[in-house]
Amino acid sequence: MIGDDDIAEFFDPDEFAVPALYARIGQYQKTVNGIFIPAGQDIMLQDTALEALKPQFICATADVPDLRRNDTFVISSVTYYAGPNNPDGTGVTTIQLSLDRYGAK
Amino acid sequence: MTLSVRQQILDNIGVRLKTINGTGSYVTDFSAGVFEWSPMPIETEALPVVIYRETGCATDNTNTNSSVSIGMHQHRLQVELELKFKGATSMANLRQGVADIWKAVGVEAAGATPGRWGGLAVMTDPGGDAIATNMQDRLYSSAIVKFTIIFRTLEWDPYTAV
Repeated sequence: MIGDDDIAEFFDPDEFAVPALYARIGQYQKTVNGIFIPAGQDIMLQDTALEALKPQFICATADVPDLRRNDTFVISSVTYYAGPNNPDGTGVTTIQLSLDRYGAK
Repeated sequence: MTLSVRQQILDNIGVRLKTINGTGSYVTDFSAGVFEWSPMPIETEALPVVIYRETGCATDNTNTNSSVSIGMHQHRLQVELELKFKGATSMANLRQGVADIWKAVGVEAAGATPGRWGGLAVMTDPGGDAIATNMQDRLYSSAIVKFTIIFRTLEWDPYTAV
């Protein structure tokens, strides 16, 4: 069984995790350690595929209890907006990130 | 190499699209992003782009269309242009891009000489457009603009326009 100590070790910035400045819109900001995956993937958009990225940030669910769409994560000086997130039920949440605000014009 | 009328018209489409360069009456700059077909995924760094392709060509003679003179074939070349944009304002940019596309097509469609796709076409019929969007690392938007170019050749001679 995975415990809080295990999760803390998993997201240790001395290992694979990186610090992100997490900002809950209009409320607070704090540093959250997590694993940043700037994974690439081809997306089909109408008839032609694009070589897009699908960046994700994986962190402890307890570190982002109030997570909302368009909260920001600053990772290596780049600001990302939080998209769909998926708490996996074991204390870990995967957040899809975007350089553009969701629903923004 | 002798080029078929169809090939010449497709070449003229590419030339016309490259004139959408963000100057004059055009807002969008496609000049570095014009592709004929695109079997490979497009790098997002290259956006905005426009991909042009023909999706088919229906041919009539006087037996299937009485308005076609004896000794001629009349072709209806179905053309699709696919536009791609990225970024927070990509939907507005997409609409602007569609407008610029229609303007550029109109230069060929409405012109007499040297319009009409190098003087090779009889007319151009507008089709319409469909748009789509996808959110990944960026907001991406896309539109497919369709129109039909009607041209005539000698029957069984796709190299000779009439």
